[in-house]
Amino acid sequence: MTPGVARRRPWRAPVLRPRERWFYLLIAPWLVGLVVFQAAPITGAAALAFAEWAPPLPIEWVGSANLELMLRDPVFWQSLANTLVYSVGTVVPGLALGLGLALLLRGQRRGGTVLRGAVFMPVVISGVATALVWGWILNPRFGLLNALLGLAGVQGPAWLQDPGWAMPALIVMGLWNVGVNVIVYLAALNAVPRELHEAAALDGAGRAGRFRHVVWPALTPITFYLAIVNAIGAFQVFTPTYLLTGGGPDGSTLTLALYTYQNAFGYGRLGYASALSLALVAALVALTVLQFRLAGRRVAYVGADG
Amino acid sequence: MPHRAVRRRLAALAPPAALLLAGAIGVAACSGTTSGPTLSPPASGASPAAAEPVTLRLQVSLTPEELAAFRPALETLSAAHPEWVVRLEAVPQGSEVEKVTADLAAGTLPDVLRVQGLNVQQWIRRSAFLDLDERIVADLDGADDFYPGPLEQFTWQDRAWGLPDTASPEVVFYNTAMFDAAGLAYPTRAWTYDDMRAAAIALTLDAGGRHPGEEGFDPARIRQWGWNGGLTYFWQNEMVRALGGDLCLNADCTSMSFTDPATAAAIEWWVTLVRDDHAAPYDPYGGSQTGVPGDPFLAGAAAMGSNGWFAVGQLNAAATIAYDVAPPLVGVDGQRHTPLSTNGYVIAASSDHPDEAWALVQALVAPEFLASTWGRPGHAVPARISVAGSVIDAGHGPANQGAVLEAMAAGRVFRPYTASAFAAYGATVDLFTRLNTGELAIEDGLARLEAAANEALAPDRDP
Repeated sequence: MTPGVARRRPWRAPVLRPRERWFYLLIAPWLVGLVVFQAAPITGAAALAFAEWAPPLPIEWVGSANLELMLRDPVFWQSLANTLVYSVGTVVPGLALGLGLALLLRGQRRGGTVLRGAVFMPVVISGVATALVWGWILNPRFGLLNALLGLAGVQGPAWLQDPGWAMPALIVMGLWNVGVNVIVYLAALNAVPRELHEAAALDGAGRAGRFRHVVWPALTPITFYLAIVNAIGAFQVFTPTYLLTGGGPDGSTLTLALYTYQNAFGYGRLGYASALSLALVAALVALTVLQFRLAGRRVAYVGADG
Repeated sequence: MPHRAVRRRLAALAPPAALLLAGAIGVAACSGTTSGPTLSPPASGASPAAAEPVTLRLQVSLTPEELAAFRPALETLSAAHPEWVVRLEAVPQGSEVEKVTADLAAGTLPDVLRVQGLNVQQWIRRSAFLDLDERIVADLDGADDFYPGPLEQFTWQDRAWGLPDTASPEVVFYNTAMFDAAGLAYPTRAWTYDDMRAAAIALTLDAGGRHPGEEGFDPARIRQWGWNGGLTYFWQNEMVRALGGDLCLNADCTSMSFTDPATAAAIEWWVTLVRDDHAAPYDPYGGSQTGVPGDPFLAGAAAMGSNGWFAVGQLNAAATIAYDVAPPLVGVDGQRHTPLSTNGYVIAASSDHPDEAWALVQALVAPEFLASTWGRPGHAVPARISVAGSVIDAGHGPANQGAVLEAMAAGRVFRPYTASAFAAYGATVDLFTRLNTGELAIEDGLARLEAAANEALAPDRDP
């Protein structure tokens, strides 16, 4: 025996208890789906980011060329900037609007269920249908929005055809799905312990004081969760830009997801598209880390033991 | 104990559940979302001793109307060829590029594909399809019967990689009611672009019924345009060539010029029609000016326009616009210049049955098949000279259908048509809009267009 080198024990397959065997058997379909339809394509896409592939030509490994090209590509930076603008523009007002509507709906006795249903309804409508309806609402000459503005004596802009207004219009469309935030906030509001309200009232806190010192701290974990989830969703925005603007006018609504799609299926540049999708993942991770850094410490976790 | 009871129940359920799961996976693996019915030859016609028929996958991308005519014609064709079983796979229009890209990546390309001409070169240049040149020389007399315009779309390095079956050339459509209301004579075969411009200005009306140039004319409230759009993207190069310029500096147009003096002058002719004369919209398809997305002529918002022949079907079906057609306008060189879109068949290089696939392609472009399937209103024009006339039918409008045959003879395919052309389109289309709205000055806009187009086209440019 060589001194200093421990002998390795031969590997043996772990013996599973019957309950564990059942566990793995029952999750097997999901596991197979995860590996085949999620993990393998993601791994493949990550690898393709370092290759050029125009099928049926063979894959050609190009090292970091795609990443270098991406850094030099002004359209990539424009799409990234647009994605950030869209995310900030939808997430922050979306949270505020969601909380505001939840507070309004919480005390609603009559018709509360109907109102909650109405607020949530847009979420269950197909994104394609929603986009088409908004396309009509935002039509500069015949759309509902400009007609309403016209009643107030305001000449509405060309919205989706105007580089300065197209992104704000898409952001307003994005707020259409605020129903999820409302429902989650409603649940969170109902979970705030009544005793805390009572204690604050005994201490002389008014409505504003109770909201600031009791409700809001209790809502910070759910706000933090919604901020992350909404930001991830906003970063992946695709349907409205694909259907309504195609990324225009003048690239003002070209998001990273749409630019990735265009490169893969429009221009046949699968390697470059994979590099872009890696960038999307990296941006999402960076954004989430940033959110943890900036907001994580302000989140008050209220557990059973205090 | 509850856990034991649950385990016993689950144990009892396991075999049927496993069977169901296996069955579901099997069904999922064997089914395809785009697969259509299999068109088998009739059993009665097949000899028991005959060889096993070869199954050929045929992918098409057709409108519902086209598919309604194509499917029975294919069934008839299949019945006459017991050596094939054709499995028809219909791909939604607009999804062809995604489908073929995915199939190429997965190695599952169908044996035969009917593809749109503008898409085909990117795949031809990657050797995705069989070189059909020798087969065409041997079996079809070198494709002499095919119009050169559509055929060019399937040619690369002087070899044919496919065969066109149809084309849709652009002709001049005009609204006879609007002409009558304006008291103007209809367009004739001799019309030039300057004739069109004068008529377009006379036909343009704002909400107050005023024409461009008249006092009080409001360009923000135009209700009727004279022409259905200016030069709004580079695939309209035939409109530039007709006026003495040319955006393309080489055969496949991977090198472009916008600043050459003759080309710049031609582009400016179109820009001023939109920007200064207000006789054509800068956003012809978006609907921001007309209120209806899509072609302004088809929407009844333009008095004239250059449209593909397919528009005949839409206009006749709607029956709301009184119209006729004229041949493409006469250019400054005395010639007609018009673009045409085309479709055609290619055979996958990965096909296991290239001979049978070639026989199927020959049958699909045979004159009788083309005449029976495509020679009807609303469909594209057969790409074979001998049978193109089948599209003319006095039983329906427009009156001057012969114009389409002149357009077929003069038509050239859209270019550039390499893979990078689509990226170049994306990089330039908004610059065209800004040029037409006047946001960009001509000189600046043309320089930007040239730089953006050439940068995007660089990957496909031969050194």
